[in-house]
Amino acid sequence: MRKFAILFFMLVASTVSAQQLDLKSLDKFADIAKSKTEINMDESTIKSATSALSEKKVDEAIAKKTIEGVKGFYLRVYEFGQKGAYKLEDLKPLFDQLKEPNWKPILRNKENDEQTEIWMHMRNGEPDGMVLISAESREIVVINGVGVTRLDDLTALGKMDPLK
Amino acid sequence: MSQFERDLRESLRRREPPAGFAEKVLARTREVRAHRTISWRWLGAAASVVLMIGATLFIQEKQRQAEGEKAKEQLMVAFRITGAKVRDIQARFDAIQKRVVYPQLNP
Repeated sequence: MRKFAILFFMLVASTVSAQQLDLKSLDKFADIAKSKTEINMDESTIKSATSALSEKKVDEAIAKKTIEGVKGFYLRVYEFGQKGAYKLEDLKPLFDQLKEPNWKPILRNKENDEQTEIWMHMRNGEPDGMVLISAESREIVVINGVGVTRLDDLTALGKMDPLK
Repeated sequence: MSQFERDLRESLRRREPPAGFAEKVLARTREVRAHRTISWRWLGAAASVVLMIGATLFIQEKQRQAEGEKAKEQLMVAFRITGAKVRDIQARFDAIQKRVVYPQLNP
């Protein structure tokens, strides 16, 4: 029984540390969005994906280089049919989590009801994750890369072909 | 008839086998055959086990490959979206920088 309790505690602890950010508060947007993309990749899924990536294909080679050291990748994209489908205040539960001392802002911009923020997650003074939040009038994008330690890692992905 | 001839005739004289000799030979033959059958059975069983393990490993490898492909597709979608978004943000910030640094040229 004690062993199970320890195992359960370890599982819960690993899940919490794996996610860095609780994205459940975004679930409400799924109902009102015109389209949504939700991707959850934990360490084992990333390992599985890495084994299938080919160095010969340009985009996959970029992905393979970026994925080194990444332990989790969580993405939410909600596209809305019209402006005003949501308010920036609706994202408060998400932004509130960034008030924790282990989150450090890298980039923050707010213009015309559009907000863009990039935050770095710190552990023992070292970066160990990143979150990108882009809230536009018709789109919300939230990306949490656990183990992404440099902004350049994300910038490199900009060289990939966009979704066709 | 010399002594030698007598000895030779005695040696070559037809002798009846001891009682039950034929049964003993036949029983021994059956034993050997049964032993051989058991060996073949074991070999067959071992081959089946090896085949089963091989098939299981093959199926597992195929499943692992399929899962890897699925995960790769997911990762590529996530990374393409991220890449596009990062490009957007960079372009937006370049525009802001231009407005701030050269306000008269970029109203």
